[in-house]
Amino acid sequence: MPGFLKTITDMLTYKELKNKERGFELLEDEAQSAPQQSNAQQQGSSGQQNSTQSKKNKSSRHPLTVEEWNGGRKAENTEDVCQAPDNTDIISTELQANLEVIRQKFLMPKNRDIIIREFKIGRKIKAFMAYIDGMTDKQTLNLSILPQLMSRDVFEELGEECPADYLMENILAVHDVRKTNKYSDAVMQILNGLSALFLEGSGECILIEARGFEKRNVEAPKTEKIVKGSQEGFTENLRTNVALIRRIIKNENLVTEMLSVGNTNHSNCAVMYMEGIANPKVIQEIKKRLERIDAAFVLGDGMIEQFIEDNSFMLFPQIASTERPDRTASFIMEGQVVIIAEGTPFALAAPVTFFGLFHTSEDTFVRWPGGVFLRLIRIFGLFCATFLPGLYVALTLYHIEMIPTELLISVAKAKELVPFPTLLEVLIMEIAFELIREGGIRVPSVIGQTLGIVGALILGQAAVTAGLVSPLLVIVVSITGLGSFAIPNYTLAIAIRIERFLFIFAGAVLGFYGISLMAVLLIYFACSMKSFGVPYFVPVAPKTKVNRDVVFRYPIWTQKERPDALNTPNRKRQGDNPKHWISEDSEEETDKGGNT
Amino acid sequence: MIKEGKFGVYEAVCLVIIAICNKIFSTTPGYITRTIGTTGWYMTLISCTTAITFFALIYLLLKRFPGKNIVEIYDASLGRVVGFVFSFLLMVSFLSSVGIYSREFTEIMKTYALPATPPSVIIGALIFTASVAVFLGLETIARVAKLALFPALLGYFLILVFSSEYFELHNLFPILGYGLDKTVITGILRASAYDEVIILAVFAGSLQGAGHIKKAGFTSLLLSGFIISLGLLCFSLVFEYTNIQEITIVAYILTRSLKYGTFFQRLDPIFLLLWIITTTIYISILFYTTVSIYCKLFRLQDARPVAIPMAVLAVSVAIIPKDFSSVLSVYVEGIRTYGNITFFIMPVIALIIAVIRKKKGEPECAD
Repeated sequence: MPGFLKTITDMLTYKELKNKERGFELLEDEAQSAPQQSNAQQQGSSGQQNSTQSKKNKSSRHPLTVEEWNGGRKAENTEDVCQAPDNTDIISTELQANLEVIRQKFLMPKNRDIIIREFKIGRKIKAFMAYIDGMTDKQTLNLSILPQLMSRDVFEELGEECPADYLMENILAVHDVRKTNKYSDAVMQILNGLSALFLEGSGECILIEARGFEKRNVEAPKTEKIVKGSQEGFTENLRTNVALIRRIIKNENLVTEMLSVGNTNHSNCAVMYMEGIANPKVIQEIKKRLERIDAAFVLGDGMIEQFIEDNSFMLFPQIASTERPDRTASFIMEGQVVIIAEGTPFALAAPVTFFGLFHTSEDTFVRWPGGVFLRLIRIFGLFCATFLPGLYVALTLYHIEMIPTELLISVAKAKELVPFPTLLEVLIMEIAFELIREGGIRVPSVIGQTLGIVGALILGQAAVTAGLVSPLLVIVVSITGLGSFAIPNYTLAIAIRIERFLFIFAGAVLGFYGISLMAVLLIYFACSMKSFGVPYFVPVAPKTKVNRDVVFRYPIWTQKERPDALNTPNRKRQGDNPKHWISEDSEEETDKGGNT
Repeated sequence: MIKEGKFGVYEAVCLVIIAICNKIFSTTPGYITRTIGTTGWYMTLISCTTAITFFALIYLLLKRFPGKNIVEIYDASLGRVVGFVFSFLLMVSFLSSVGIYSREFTEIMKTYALPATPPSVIIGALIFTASVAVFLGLETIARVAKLALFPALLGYFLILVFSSEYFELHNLFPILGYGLDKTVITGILRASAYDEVIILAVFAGSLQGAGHIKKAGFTSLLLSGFIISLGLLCFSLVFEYTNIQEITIVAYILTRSLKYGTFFQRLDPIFLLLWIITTTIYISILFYTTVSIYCKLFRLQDARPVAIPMAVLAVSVAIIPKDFSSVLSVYVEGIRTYGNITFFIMPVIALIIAVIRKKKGEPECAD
């Protein structure tokens, strides 16, 4: 009750505007006017630098040299020393103290899935290895790490150097090892599945990459099936998903930054973008929003999307979600920034526009007339899914004179035996359809589809026979349902399902007038939206330079530029003459002609 | 001063075209025919030319005070007191337009589509939508105008093309109507049909400089002149002028009479949807302009608190007229007659006084 009163009071009283910013705006700036690389220059030689895994914001477009990299690391170390780090977080040189700390941190012995394996390295130095049961590859530990460490001749060639460095350089035959002197880092990496090796007398622990947990194989995507094109979908494993994208974009400028989200569950998520193509401001904004999520539990793309989107109270999605690596790769190449979260087989891409939500991978894989046709079908599906039941209600309740006479006779005949008012009749059918759809998802997949089809047919037929609804309405609801299935973005499809009910009520209350007002209101709200600074209806409203892939998809070789609204530093998607063979051939022919 | 955001020439043109051309769907064509007979289609071109002349003078005024909107210019040119009166009159004109056009729309809706619905419900829903638009801001309205204009124009031209089957050239005669002098005088006086172009002066700060205002203003006036003239020409070609005089909404009756095959017996659903959507946007534009002038007048930082009281005022204005005939004969005609004074003559007075008093704005810094 007090909450309700407060809401009413807030509605009636005026509060001064807090002097806050208008939100993130992506304006044209110097990044956009940077000299545009040609496509050939963009695909530089590979192999110089692997993906950066740093939390620091680096927007430099040139890869670092080894000297610069080392210099940076030294500087970081010096910084650490100068800042006099918290001593409680520094790993002790006494093994027993480290063991106690690790046991305490992991709440042992209550916690039964943490394994601490104590042993002697080379039968000389006491050590222990800590890891989580089930997250490490036991074969690697048993065959490649422990036997070598426990071998008698481990320290045969050990000189003055630190034993940890010696082990890393000479003994541990694992592809990725590094060391840390902080408990927090060690604990986090153990939680990530790495094995931590602590040595007697060493103030550092070695983190060994021996991860190996159960994961699903790469399978065909379940929500974005296509006929032509790749049949690979993401899995729940972050590394696999990143690798799937790297397999498509073989370029050293593809950056993968790892961030941890969720204060308690510390879920990893990868932020992927092309350096030099994605707008640095967008990258910065996305990282800023991810880093500032203050929640104990964040899992998967769905939760991340809700935490970082611009406006939570809008129905339309402001971030695109996809299950397909090829589509994700195309997002990255367009200049969008992709977020892949651990634990769900989806990637998020931002910024996104309304028209972009109608694009699928298939549009690009089929020839352009097919692509255009498919998009138009989807837009027609959107129209049917949104307006059809509402228009039916408005026509039958308010504007009967507008129905052609023959059709009006059919409608009247069909409705003759129906005891319910039109609104109730439509609501019964719509809710029944939604139930079938929702039920079809929950039941086991073997009978799920059958239930959907049988349910729809039998329920529709039975409802007509019983005189509960008119046959015409069954057709209207079926077309509406098919239309909503044609919408490629699941979040958008849900939004449309909700909006449909709004239009039904608007049509029932004020006929065409109500539907038009509702449409204008929704367009107002949609037009006021922005996705990471990019207006939602760009390039139509506001008008920006149109690339040739918005609603109509022109032949692929004419799509020379990236979307203008993304303000990418490198606008060029293709060279000036992408079909270079045409000019070469014609030149050759001209030469031949000249010779003869 | 309220922050209204920025929009481009394209959006500005769409905004003005929707604001001006929406009248073609209203009672205007019938009234014009009653006044001047068959010459409506070229009379509107005379009105358009007059409006262009006035806009050229308004542009000179805006150019003289770069980066300032009309309210600030009135203050700078005429002094705070007289400037206040001028701006207040401008606001009242817009508020009256919102109320009267809402009422006109409501009466037509009641006549043709919703006979049993109380007028207050129709007016209330319309003004509510306009209030939401005020909350969302000018940028949003401009984008919606841009988004809606092309489908609206497509539908409009389709209706005109479909009606070509019923064209009778002899309907255009007598080509001089009730006399050339009457046509010219009415044309000049009815320049107020294009007076919505003044919104560019109200939102001058949102457009990037006087150059953009000039481009947006002249383009939108020319296009609006073409669209309205074409519509009036088609109406005149389809119906005899004696018939048009009797029809309240010519465009609606035209679409209702179209018939293609056994299924497409009437096209009025398309017309209704187009007309309602464009009118809603049109009322939103006028209502936002009213609120914006009010905020500028009293130097308010935030338009939102003004929206609801102003909506109450607009609804009150809308329910003042006794009946539909008084809406048409007194109020709409009043706005058409006196609109010229507030929308065109007052800025010209401000320009003349600014020249006499040698008042000028600071030149804009090049960013």
